[in-house]
Amino acid sequence: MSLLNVSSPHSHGPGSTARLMKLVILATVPGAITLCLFFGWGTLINLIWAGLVAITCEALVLKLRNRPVAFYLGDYSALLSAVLLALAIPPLAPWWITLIGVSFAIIIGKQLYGGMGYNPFNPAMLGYVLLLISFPAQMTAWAAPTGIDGVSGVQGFAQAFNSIFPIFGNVLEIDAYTLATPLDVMRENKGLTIDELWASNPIFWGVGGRGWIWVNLAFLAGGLFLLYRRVFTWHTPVAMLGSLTLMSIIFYGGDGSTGNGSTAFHLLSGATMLGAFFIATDPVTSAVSNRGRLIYGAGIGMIIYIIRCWGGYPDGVAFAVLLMNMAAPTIDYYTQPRTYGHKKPKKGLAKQD
Amino acid sequence: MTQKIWDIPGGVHPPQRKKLSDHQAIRKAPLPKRLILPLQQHIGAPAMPLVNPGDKVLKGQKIADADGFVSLPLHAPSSGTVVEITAHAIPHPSGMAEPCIVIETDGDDRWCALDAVENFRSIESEDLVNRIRDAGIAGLGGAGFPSAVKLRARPEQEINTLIINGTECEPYITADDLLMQEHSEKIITGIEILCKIVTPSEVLIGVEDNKPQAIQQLQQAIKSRSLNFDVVPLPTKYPSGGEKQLIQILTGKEVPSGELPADLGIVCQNVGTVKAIHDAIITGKPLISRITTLTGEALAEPGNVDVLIGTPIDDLLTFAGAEPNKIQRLIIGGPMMGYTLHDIASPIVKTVNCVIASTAEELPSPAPAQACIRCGACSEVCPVNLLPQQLYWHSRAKDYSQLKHHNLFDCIECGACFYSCPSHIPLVQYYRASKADIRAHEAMQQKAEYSKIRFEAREARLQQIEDEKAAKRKANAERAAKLKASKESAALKNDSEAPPNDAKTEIDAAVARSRKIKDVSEDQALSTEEKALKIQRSMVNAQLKKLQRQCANCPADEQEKLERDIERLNQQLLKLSPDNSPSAATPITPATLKIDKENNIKHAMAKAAVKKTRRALAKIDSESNEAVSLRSELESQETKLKQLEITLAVGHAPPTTKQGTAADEDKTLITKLGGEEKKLKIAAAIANAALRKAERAYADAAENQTAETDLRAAEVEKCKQIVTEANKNLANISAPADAPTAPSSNASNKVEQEPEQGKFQEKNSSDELKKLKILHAMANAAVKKAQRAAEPTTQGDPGQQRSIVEARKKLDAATKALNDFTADKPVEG
Amino acid sequence: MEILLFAICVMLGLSLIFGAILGFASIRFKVEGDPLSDRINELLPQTQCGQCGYAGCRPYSEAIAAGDMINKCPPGGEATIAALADLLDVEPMPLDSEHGEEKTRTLAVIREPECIGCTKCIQACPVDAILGAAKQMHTVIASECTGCELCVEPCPVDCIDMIPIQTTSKSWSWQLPTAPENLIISDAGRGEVA
Ligand code: SF4
Ligand code: SF4
Ligand code: SF4
Repeated sequence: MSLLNVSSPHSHGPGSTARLMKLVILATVPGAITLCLFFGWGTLINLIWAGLVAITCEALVLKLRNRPVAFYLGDYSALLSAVLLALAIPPLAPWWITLIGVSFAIIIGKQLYGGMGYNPFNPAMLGYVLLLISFPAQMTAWAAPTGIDGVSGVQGFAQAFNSIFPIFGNVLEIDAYTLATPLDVMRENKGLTIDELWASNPIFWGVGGRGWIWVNLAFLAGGLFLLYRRVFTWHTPVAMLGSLTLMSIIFYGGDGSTGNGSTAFHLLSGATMLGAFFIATDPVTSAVSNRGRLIYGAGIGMIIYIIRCWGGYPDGVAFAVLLMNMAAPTIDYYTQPRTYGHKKPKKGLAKQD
Repeated sequence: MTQKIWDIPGGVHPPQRKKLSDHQAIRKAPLPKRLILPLQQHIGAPAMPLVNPGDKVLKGQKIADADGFVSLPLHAPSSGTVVEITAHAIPHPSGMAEPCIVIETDGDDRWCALDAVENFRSIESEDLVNRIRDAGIAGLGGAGFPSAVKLRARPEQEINTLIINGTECEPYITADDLLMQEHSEKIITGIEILCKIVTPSEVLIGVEDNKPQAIQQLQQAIKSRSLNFDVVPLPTKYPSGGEKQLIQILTGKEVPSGELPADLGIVCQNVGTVKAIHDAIITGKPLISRITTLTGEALAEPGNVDVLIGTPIDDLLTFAGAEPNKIQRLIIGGPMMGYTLHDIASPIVKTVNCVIASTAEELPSPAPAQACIRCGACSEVCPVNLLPQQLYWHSRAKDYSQLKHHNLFDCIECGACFYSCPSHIPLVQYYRASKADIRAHEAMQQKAEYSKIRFEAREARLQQIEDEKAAKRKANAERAAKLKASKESAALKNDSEAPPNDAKTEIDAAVARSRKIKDVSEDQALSTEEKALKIQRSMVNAQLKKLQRQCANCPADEQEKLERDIERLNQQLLKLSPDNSPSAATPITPATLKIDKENNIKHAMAKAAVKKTRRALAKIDSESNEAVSLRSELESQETKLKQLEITLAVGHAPPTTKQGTAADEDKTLITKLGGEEKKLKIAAAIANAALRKAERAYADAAENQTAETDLRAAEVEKCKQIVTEANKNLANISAPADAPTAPSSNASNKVEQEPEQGKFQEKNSSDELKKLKILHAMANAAVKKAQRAAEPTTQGDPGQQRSIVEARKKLDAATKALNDFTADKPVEG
Repeated sequence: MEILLFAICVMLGLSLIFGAILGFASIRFKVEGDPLSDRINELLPQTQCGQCGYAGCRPYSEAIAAGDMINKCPPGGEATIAALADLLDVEPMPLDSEHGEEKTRTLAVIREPECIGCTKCIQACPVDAILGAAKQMHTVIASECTGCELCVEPCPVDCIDMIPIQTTSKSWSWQLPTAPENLIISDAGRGEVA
């Protein structure tokens, strides 16, 4: 008999990277469905298109690098990046927006750094920021949610498909179907009180804006499912939502025109929940220790609020995540846990001798 | 009262698989034919064998003794015969072989006399610890630390908590479970013995709550004796059985990094060890068997066995009904921290608590590692709160200072991190390799530091000697004149002022005298007695010198006493000087041998000088005028060498004839042949040297690309001819070299008849052999060095290469002949 | 114009003040470190073999401090070069093969029956690791031998062997697993992994 000789342990738990990625993809389903319900089929088309682009890019690069393609594709990480980016892109964004964003995310944001596990920045968010900076018009043109009088919204699948892939010549007049998002309106608001704002614009509904509340709640549900399955720890999302809440309470300007919106508005509008549970929790680019993740999450929440209220963009999840990605290594060095048998945790870098 | 327990961070819950082996009672393993006992089965120094192959041993007899404080003796597990002490495969992750005592059992299983103790309470605790040590008890939980070392009283730290480890948190293993179920009484007695030794204020027995029967048995035993030991059920979680983890669970305290539990006043012992202690004290039986779990799906009858230490594992596997083709890996210990076995002939040692014969489905081969996604699953489960993923990155970067900063050395290698890593990264292997690397690195640094100190000390010493020499030279020059004037009178006067040169002249005289004696009685060599006298003389000499030095710088009143001493020593010296040596009375060996040896050495040294000059020559061969002068020096050196070699040769001739007349004919023959051989040998060496010289010159020329090349080539050609001639002569000897066989066998007959002379001759020929060996070695060296010298120059010069090859071949033939000659000697002598 | 002049004056004044402060600080808070050659010497392997062309590690460390190349020490090999490059803040460079190759560590062992007791090796040994006396058998103290090979050449009977240090089950250790991947796009053509 030939005996296998390997280092211990010989037993391994059931977890695997592919399983984790699949769970995360699964957890986006409620959010994706809600998006489709409110903003039409565009999201679904984007998801499929982005997925195809991601897998092709990944396979291509792996081939170029002489890596076993099937083995690395099997970790589903490319697909996950594509899904997250597709969920963040406006539902009616033309096909080349997705193509550019996803291929940039996969090729430059991930593979050029060495592939999964080596990228310092969240690839999906890198792609998103690239698009946001390069194509602001397309990236801010969100489809109007259904259920608003006067604005038809995107009706059928064909229409959505046509607006993304205008193969049949007749490019849709996109303005007819799009509307500024609540965060946009809020930022642009100069003279109206909050109540007036709510009354004046049909996009406002409830506390977060028509459609947006449900989308955020759906992502929250997905996130809770992941927490329950222990895909990640509670530290990052809780810290992020906590700091966002805290900021919005501190800087709550009342109902006046300079008020920055209520806590509930910030929590349930824009990409808050998607960011908290699906983007900030990306393990590769976040801090590693639990204390570190608290700091990391809190930083993201704070920066989101700052960008939303005082920055040049309506939503700041992508920028906040990228900025904190940069800070993650430093956070790691200063948040080592206290090891058994040591009085104090160690801090900083090792002393150079 | 229920004992409060604490929680440890992290931990995992791997599938238990204890059901495989926990349902049947402990069986006794059959007595094997051979027992293999590694000398090292514990942490510390290996034991020193007390037996030799062929010795009969009884069961329980000590066969190897502890070697040092942290070491343990070894006992024969059964009666039989020691067949060998040899390197044999042992259970170790490296799969390397280590020295083992192999015993062939006789099947009687006869015990030696045992020293049982009636009442352990009446014995001093010191004595108890010694008995535990003598029984060879090491921690049976897996690490194998000598138990006595842990128990030995430490005056600076009182022990207040005794923890008995019955957790057995690793999957599969049930040995301790069954032990606690079946031998709870003995365990409790063992704990009482431990209490006698360490006098703790509380005793905590930690058992995981997946062993309800064991807990019940222990509690019953405690109750029946109304003791206040606490059996503490712990939640089942891996790795709560680690010593540090168990201490944390039971007391809430952490053992400070780099310290021992004893520093906290805690001693921890495994239940198996406690039972072994019971056996050692109460019945006097040393540790010769243990309970081991045999499990895994490749076994038809898994279960626990009481097995003799040293039983080969393949015997046990057969006993447990193993299906060899189903076994994919054999694990010693548990699936989390155990290691794989390379060779199933390895024996059970004191630390083997479990053997898992697993199938491929049961413990599949590790999946290929993916990249770390920094998910943190590993740091979630790490029981000592490390950041395994950071350790992994730094291990890969070999960043030792960061690794230490991240407390790599606090990792207990429990494997929980690997168990939960979704990317299947063999984290523990990274840590093990890094730890070893860091240790090796530190050892190297330490050695470098040490070497530096030694180097600097040597430099300082050489400098000092140099300085002293310079000072002495100066002083000598000053004194020279004065000395010359008063030489006659000063020679015998032991004045305190007398310079060391006085003693030196005397010694010189003595040496000269001894030379003369040697010359006169050439066939009389230094006897052992004479040698001893010589040593004594030099010692007295040294003493004398020392005293004189002392005398020179001490106050006047003491001077007198010292002077008297010097006088006495001087007389001793005189007495010891070779004139008075009673050498004639003792057995004699030919003095020539000694001279030969001296000549040989001189020869070797001269050769080295030649070589060095040559090397210097090679360095500056471009600067021609210097080269010329050097070359002439080389030539003179070589002539010196030749001369020496000739003396060497001549030195052999006279003794041959002299001995021929002095001793019997056989002796003459042998010596003669030896001398002749040597002569030719030397001739070959000379020729060889000439060849080398020529080659050297040729190479020089070739390098310089001068017109001289042809000239030099011719020279080489000429030299080659000389070599060929010399070698022909040398080759001739191989024929005569065969000759001694016949006469020598005659000699051996004679030797039998004349024992006196036989002894004499034996000595003679063994000395001869030595001589020849030296010559042989030198010849060897010459060839090697010639090759080395030739190597850089011969590239692309096939002619020259060929000539070297040729020369070497011929030299080989000569050495072979020599070999034949020398090989014959011992047989006949 | 006045503003410009004013600005220039202010800048000048400020730079003078800060310059003075910095100058003072550099004198007042000067840290006495080891001389550079000492720190370099700390990094050298102390084999004292002289392969670098100097009579031991210390002279080489002094030469490096005076500007010699850092890649002349074969016993130290890549690791030492890296450490030196780090200390001196220069680019690491490959070992200069003119001085020899990096080899596994060895120990000198004297074939004792062949030793003629010439004491040549004792004189050659830079760290006094050889024990013996004239016409007596010599031996190497293994724990002190640096494996410099300096004793091999002077031996007139060539009875010194350089034996590579063997691993035993005590010195054996696990090796680092082969890294799953560390890839950039220029890795193309390196061949299949896994
Ligand atoms: S569990 Fe594995 S993949 Fe996750 S952080 Fe640890 S080492 Fe990396
Ligand atoms: S093996 Fe070391 S790092 Fe991994 S979980 Fe155990 S103690 Fe922590
Ligand atoms: S080559 Fe030898 S002498 Fe020179 S620095 Fe390296 S170890 Fe020291």
